[in-house]
Amino acid sequence: MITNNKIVLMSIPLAILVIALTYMTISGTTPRNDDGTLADNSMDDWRSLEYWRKTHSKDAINNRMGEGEPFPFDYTTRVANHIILGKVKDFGGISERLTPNLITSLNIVTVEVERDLTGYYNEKEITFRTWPTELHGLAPGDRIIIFIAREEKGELDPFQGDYYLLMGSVGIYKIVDGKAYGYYHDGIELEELIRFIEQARSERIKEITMKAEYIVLGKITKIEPILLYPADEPIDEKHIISSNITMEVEEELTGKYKEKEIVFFGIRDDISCKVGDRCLVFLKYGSIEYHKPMINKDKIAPYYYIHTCWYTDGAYKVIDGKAYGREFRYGINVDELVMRIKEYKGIGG
Amino acid sequence: MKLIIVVMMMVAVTIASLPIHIQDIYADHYAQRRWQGTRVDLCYDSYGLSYLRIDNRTNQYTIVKQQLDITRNDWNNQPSRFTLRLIGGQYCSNWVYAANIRDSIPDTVAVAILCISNTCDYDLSRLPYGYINKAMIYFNTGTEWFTTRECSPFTTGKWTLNYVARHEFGHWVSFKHTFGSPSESVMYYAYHCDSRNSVKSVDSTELSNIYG
Repeated sequence: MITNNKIVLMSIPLAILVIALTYMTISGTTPRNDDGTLADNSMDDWRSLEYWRKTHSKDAINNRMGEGEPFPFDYTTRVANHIILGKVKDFGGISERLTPNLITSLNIVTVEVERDLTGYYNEKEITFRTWPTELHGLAPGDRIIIFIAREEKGELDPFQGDYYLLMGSVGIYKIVDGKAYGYYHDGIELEELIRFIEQARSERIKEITMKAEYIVLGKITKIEPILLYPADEPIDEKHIISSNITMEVEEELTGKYKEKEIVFFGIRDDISCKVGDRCLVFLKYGSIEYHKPMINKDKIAPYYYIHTCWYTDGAYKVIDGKAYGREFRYGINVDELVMRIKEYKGIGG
Repeated sequence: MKLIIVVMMMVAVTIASLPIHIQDIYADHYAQRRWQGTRVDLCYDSYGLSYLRIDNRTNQYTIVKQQLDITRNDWNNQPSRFTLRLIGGQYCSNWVYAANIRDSIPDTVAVAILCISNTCDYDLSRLPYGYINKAMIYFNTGTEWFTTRECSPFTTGKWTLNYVARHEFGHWVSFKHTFGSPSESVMYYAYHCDSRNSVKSVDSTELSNIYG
């Protein structure tokens, strides 16, 4: 006979077993931090400054599921079309079909412009596109500084020639009580940030000038595709983007190159100039060492096109006396550009 | 009474073993979000991927596919039951795309996006906990991709496609970044040849711990 006492006694270990199994189940499904404490990914107050600082810190950017790294502050500043100090007005959304299988969703943001730190934008409002994930922590009424860019419409292009937010969440500062908070600076006085921006803008073209060994102003006369990697099947020339590019030399700004013509290697699509265009390009010598061709080593031109943070920043197309490129999106008088380059290179004249 | 003592001892042993068991499940880079099953069906968007610039050429989908297959099979060839299965068809949920991302995000080369419930993000810390139900990878058509081993992308601008893909597929299986030595894990936070060239033993072990 099992008495009541025995039932009670037997039920104790069973109860412990149930508790243990429950604990196992909960432990097995409850997310934990690295230190074993229970994880909490609730959004807290997503409009708070603390949330903003947390989601725009270097650690937060490092933890994104991507490859590549943000541009340095000076570079982002130099290549922006506009650097807008203003206030978020409202958000909208848009979808673009990029391929038969791909529809991308983007946010469209309108900002009331207080001032464009580049000096080029005179409208009262500016609208730009960005990925929805780049706007966490922003709300209408927030005072911000944003870095905006615009490129010609291209294939598979979600921005369709509109303004977009340069570097996504890295390209926004939130301004609270006179201080700016963002990826590059966490709580810098607004006036000091503006000084840094003006300083970086004043040194446009310096970095690539200092990197280049040869800087050539002239006219593109020929673009010849050259295959550097073996292909199993014949490749249509229009799909070969590596090219030897011939230029009629108007002036080589360092004074080291004296010939009337130069042939350099580059990726055709990275260089904004086509045959017949007047162009300024930044070059180095030593294509074979740099590009390590697997075939056609004897055919690759000895000079090669260079860039800094982005593929397209080593060429400037000259139209009606103005040079247009990544650091001078709205153009600079070509004589002024030449003067700046020579100054940085320490060349008199 | 003896029976009670035996049962209590069994319970004590079970409880004592719990911390070890939990530690085994949650090693360093498991992001605590996972797929419900052990097989993920995915599709390559051949239209977009043919725009990638690889080995200085465009319109090279066959080569791009080969590179993606190399890395997908690297994950599939681990002892774990987890598989990334390439399928075709319009009803695919999980896609590998290419788009002209330009410099519109800090991750200028490629990005993986996971969806849980109705939330999709490439920042794991903002994703709710639960089962992953959709995943995407975007490769940037503006990037210069190569089939060769490229180890200095931040100075040359050249990236090895299968290295980057191996890391992004690692996010798909629900791994976050590691910050130790590059050669320890394919999930090292920054591009490094010694990290990205293969799925490492710590990654493989973790995969088995999660998916069996």
